[in-house]
Amino acid sequence: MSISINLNGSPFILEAEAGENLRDALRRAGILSVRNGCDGEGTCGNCSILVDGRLMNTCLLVVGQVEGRNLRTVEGLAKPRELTSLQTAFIDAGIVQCGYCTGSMLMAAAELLEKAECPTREQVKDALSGVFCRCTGYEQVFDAMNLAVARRKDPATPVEAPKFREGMRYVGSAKGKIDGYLLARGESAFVEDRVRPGHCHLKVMPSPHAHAFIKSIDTSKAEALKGVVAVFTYKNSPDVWYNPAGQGFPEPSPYDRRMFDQKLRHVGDRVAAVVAETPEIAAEALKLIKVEYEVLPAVLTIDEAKRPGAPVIHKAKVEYVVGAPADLDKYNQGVDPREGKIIYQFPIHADPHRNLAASVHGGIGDINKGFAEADVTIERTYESSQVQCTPLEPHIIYSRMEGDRLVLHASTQVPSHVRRIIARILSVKENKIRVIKERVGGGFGAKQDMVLEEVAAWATWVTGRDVLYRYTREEEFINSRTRHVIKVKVKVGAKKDGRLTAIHMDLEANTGPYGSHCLTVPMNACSKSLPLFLCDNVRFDVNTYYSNIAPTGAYQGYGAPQGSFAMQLAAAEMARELGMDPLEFIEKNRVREGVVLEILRCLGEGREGTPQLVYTCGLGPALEQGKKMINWGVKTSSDNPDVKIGQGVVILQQGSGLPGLDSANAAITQFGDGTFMILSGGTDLGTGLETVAVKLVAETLLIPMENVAVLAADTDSTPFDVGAYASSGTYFSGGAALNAALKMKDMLIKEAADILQEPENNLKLAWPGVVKGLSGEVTYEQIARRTQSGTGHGQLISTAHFITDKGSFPYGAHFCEVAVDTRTGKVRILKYYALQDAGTPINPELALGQIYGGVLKTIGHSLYEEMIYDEKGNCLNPNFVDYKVPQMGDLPDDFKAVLVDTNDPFGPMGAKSISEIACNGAAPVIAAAIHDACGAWIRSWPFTPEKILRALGSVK
Amino acid sequence: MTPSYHRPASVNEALQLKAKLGPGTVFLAGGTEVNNLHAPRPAALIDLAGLGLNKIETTPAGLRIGAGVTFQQLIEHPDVPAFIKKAAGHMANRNIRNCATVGGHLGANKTCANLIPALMAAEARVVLTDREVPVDQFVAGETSLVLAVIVPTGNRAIGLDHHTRTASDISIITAAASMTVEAGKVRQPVLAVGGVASHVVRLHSVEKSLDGQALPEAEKLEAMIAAAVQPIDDLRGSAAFKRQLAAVLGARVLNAAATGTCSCKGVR
Repeated sequence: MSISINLNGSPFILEAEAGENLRDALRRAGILSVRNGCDGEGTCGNCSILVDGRLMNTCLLVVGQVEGRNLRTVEGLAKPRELTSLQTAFIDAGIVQCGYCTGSMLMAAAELLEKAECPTREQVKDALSGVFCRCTGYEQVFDAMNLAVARRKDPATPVEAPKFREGMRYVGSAKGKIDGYLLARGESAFVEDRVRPGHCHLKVMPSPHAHAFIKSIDTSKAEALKGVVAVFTYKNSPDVWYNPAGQGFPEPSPYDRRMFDQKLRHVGDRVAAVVAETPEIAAEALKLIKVEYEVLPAVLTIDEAKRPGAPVIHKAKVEYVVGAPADLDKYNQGVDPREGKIIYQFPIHADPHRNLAASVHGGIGDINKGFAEADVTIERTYESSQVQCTPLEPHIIYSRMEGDRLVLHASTQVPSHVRRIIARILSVKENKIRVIKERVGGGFGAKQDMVLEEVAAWATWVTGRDVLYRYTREEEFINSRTRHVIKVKVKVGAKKDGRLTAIHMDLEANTGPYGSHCLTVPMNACSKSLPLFLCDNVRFDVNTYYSNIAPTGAYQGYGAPQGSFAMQLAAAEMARELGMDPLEFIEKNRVREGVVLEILRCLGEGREGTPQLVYTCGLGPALEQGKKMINWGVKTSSDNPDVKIGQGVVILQQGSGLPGLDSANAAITQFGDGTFMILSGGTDLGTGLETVAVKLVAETLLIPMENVAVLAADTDSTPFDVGAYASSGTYFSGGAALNAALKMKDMLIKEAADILQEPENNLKLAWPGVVKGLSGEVTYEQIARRTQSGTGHGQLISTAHFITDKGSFPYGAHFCEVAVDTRTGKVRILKYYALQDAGTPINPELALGQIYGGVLKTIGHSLYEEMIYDEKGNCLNPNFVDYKVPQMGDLPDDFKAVLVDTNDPFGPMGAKSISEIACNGAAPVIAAAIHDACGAWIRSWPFTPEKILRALGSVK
Repeated sequence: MTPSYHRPASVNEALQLKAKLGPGTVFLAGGTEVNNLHAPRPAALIDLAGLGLNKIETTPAGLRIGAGVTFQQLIEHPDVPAFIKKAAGHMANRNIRNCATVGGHLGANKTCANLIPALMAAEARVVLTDREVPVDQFVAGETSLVLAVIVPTGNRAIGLDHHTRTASDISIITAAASMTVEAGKVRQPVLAVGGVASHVVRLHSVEKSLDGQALPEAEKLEAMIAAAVQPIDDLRGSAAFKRQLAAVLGARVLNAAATGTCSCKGVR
């Protein structure tokens, strides 16, 4: 049918059935900005447009409902090749991160600005209340709106953002995000925008059982269905064992899965895949597959998994690449071949036949002596829930052949690892595979694992067809990655004066069906929380267990949020036990500059670690400033006698990549007019990493940023980089970009010396892109023309890598004030102040956005989020109706992120990491504030009203 | 697969279409329920947008709110009383409020409904094609097409409260109350609670005990309400938790109705 609408100011004919979903019809008509984050339940708002001037979810409308009406999408906001002042304000305020929700946010803001001259905070919150963003934490939307309003009067109004490093042009100043233009215009940018006509659709048949063997499987009817291109099961897929965790090779994560396996280890595990001409045919074909299962009892919790005689998730044949124990043959006796294999690259102290996926133990000093010296000892157990990363763009892959090479358009944090792992699974050389990382619509760790890429890659490799494979939101919950469920028993001893004498963290983790990050996430829970306190006697015990819950893996913070919750809350409890002010307790015990962190020797990601000297630590100023901001210790009360108000403070740290393990590379090429291109292996997830690279090059070579273009994370064109995880982007990928720029600087001077006939040490670079000597100067363009001529030395191309054995730790202090309704258990966050040290914040506005985003996400984990299962292992809330995430209406009343200035000696131009640390504060600081308010210690996520009422005794 | 779409120009035509198209045919208003992923896929959609039901009019019987009026329209319209605006504002978020309609809300008849308790407390009447029924009677079993809601004009204060997990979550418990207070005595109180049964209910036993008495202390009110509700355990909380919430919110809205203050804010 042809249905007339007015689209972005012009008459438009929509070719669609009147009863068809409007979002689908608009996408087909080339309106790409109607993004899909919730599959049509209307909870994410990422498909919002204006219908007759009002913001609506296109997924909740059918085409007939908009016949004859005016539709406006972000594509129509600005003229071609332009941005409106609203779009510019969004970019300048740092509110454009991954960009997946940006189009919808902009339309919500546009509607408001058309109706309100000068919108209030409440109006802004209301206008954007239906658009879910997981990256930004929303707070800077208010800045963007204020900026847009101010620029109505004065288009030159500058953005208000903190500035660091006087004398630098770009580094330390808000200069916008270089892909902001693309994302704010709603242009083609994501994997889903790359599909070509005639591509196939891949759908996977999920296991209905949490734990089962496939007894028989018959795919003949599915294969016979017209439009089915291929069907894959364990019988016709590669017999290769691997781990999808995107970690540096050799990985600590065990190779404990196969593309398709005869054993199924969680509800949703892959039974079979269908590749078909349409999604409908693929779905139909899945129904025709006949499977008989041998159902096994499911194991869901740590306690069940470690019980003697518990069902074993991987009763598999175990192999070691190095370090096999002497009794391995005995261990492998009598294993069922249907259980498959586990290959360890090196020992991670696992015992899979008892469900132990990994373990590590260590410490410093003498823990028994430490506890004997203590005047007060407490022991408490803290538990985290299973929370999902919920990137608004679910996992997606588009694979196609180009000649005899495989091209993958991927939404991944680890393109180089994906290439390596897929090459191994397909038994092809890495040079046959190209992984192009498109704009990523949110990663947060879930996209550090290869979650679906290998299935589409295999399907394309076998069939030669273009294949699109995109998770539904439900699949994203049950098949993607979540935070490890962690239970920590913390025992702490202290003297009466508050000095810590002993700390013991006894940690148990639930890794679910496979061992992605099963050693390193739980270990990181210790390595990012223990070194915050100076204590001579420390011990940790880490045991990770397999189970049949949905897979876990990396999630921003990587265990540290769970470890920090336990350790920081235990510190708060100890302070109360001692009758001390928690802030005073922190001051007495906290890490400071100049200290050597001996504990890190035994926390080395499966290898021996290195003790690290703390060169810079912003905790002093962060605590001092935060204390003033929140009026620490001044008790406030509510007008409502049922409502109690309390405060909390915690300290946090993270790392900046993995010294000794991570490596990054970059290259810079010079163009004929003297401009440059940086080829970076770094993987920008919307965080501004490409902007970091451009700024470092422009700053070093003394040229305008626009003279540096960037191409990143395309494995054919850009050099190796481990990818974006472990807060490594700025430090490692940025470090490589800086090193390449320094090499380019040397090359420019060498060429100029030749032209000017002066010794190199007479020469220096000068703004804007010249080399100055004593006798004269030569422009970069002159150098380029000469080097690229028939008599030149060749185009200037510099390459560099970055590795380090130095750890630069970002630190932070979070303060909050909550109001607890003691009759309903409802918690409202009145104030949340996050003060963090990121060394030199290269993109300060985006660094603030990372803090706001990390905090709001983890406010969600603390107060609302948890995956809930029935006794058979079915997740009961794999959607945004029942799994509640914080949105704009849930912002703290007063929310401030502050960057505390430190200047790191090792990071590029003084930078440390920013992305993960902000996730470590919310849980312990909110729990501490709840206790301060109402006297209840809530020791498990999420701190629901029901738990609070139970702790207060009003619900039994 | 794709449902057929029909857009009648009159109520009669809509009813005839419904009869003619048979099973799997649903009336479509804003679409937030019917077009939702979690709704059953309909065979046919009858869009009510052409019936002219989107008006808000002051009539001798009270404020007549057309079934096609959206929640956001309620919030923005000058003649709509504050308690209705407030209740409408509790619905999900702006995107949903721009589409969701009063008629659709009544038709969906969910226990987490945000507007229904307020309408009950105001003793509103639902206009059907052939008659008018009180809201509480409608939610107890009517399924016919809603044309409008009539909110009688009155001076009674309406107490309103709700509890959600996040700001845009569905309500776990809602409560609304109204009453007249004469010489310190409660007269003809109404107490509506959502989240404790399959739809929003009036707690008649509590209303009866309060009628003609001075409003008891909160603690006593809470005990009365707790004894009158039978919530169930589900993902959002245990029955015990919901009973506590119903008791606390119920007592608060009764107090707010009695004193003319609104306790909608919950916290602070």
